Amino acid sequence: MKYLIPITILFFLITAAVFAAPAEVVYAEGEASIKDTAGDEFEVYIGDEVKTGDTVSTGYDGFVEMDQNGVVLKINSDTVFTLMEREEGNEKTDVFSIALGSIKFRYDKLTGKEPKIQMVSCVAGVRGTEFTVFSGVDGSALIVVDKGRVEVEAEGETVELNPEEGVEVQPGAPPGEKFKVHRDQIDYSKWNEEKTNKMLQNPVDSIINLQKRMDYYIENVAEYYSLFSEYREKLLAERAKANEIAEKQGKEAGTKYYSEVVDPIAFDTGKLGLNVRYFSLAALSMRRFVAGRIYLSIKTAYITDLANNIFIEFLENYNNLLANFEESIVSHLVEADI
Amino acid sequence: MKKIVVLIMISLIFASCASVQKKDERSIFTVAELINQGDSGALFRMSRVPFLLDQEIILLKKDIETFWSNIIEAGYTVDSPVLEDGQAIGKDSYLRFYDSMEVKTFFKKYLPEKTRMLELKTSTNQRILLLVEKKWLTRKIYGFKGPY
Repeated sequence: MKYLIPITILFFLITAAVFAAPAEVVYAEGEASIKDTAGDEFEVYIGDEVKTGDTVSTGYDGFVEMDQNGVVLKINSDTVFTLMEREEGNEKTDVFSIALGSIKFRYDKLTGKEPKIQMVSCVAGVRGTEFTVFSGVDGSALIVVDKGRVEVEAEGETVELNPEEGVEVQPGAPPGEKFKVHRDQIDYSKWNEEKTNKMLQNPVDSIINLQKRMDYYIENVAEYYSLFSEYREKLLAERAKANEIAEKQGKEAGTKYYSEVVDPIAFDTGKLGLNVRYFSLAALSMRRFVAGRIYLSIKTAYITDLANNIFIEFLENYNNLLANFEESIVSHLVEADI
Repeated sequence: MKKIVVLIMISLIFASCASVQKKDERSIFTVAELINQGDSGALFRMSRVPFLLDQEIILLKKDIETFWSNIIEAGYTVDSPVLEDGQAIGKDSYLRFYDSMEVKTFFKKYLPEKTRMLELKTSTNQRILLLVEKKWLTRKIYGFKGPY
């Protein structure tokens, strides 16, 4: 209950402040669904609009092609994609979030305001026109550029990829060494299978790596929520002051104070709230599509030997991850997110 | 005359309770039998999305398929299952799975009203918790916890 009022205000401010251009589904085949921000899920059809906060999931035979203002996204099978938005450098930025699977991007033209690509382990800034991102079972990412350039950032380090170059990023680690790759040479299934084998061999390490990434989300949520709370207090105080001015000096003076002082604070508060939501949802996505799937694999691998020390150690680390998520992220989520 | 009506009503209540217990028993035997027979395909077809595994909400169909096929491949069996407890789901039933906002929301948002929470015990004293909805001739599985 204690979070209800802040979250309600947060939603109100975000709703008032944002909403990016939707993406249009131009082609769909096989199993594919859209889960909207209200939590309702429905099948994907050509012509559907994917709005900010919507998640597109494809099944084993699914494929969806979308267009967002000249950016073509080819969402391959077994992929989970969310259209998100955050505030960065005083501007709203669209974010294409890939929790799992692979997507090929093609930009008809570059405007300098290209959406960021968010994977579990890193963020890619787009300078190129054609590239593919892969998001693996353990949260690893693989980025391969066909044309143009892409900047990949993780843990404060950046790698710039040129055509026919690729890089892999492990969760909680900076980008690895760049490597040369020819167009369409990467076999995503094989790469993901290697990740699965590695995860099964070292389940404890996989969870520890994810915890590092969870810490990053938690730090950002805490930082933005603290600023958001500060601005919200300021906003309430300034609103009261504006009303007082209107009462004492007249409606015109009150309106002037509102537009000069209150509105800019309301706008900034909305942007901070947007980032709280962005990092909370990114943490939820990682918890659901990476941590949850690792749990499933490890639990079923040890189901006949749950007293095994490896499983027990895995479980201890996993429970820590869940406890941190519960303590720092859940209060910023609502039922529709689940 | 009044006594006869009361007796009939009591008999009906008993018959109804016995019938619910029979349905619960049939549900756990069906699931156990399919696991023991290694029929992951049937278990997958009976399962619904989203699916609750312990504290995890499984959203992808492929993962539910993986869950059933993995436990069968691992050689997991449910020996001599006995129904320990069968209850209609209520406000706090989620606590028997896991105490979190996510699991609480799963129970509230995704489980049909008539879902039953069934606890079975095996010959090795292991327990499993199942979320099952019995509808006409079909059974739907919404969750699995255990063995614990």
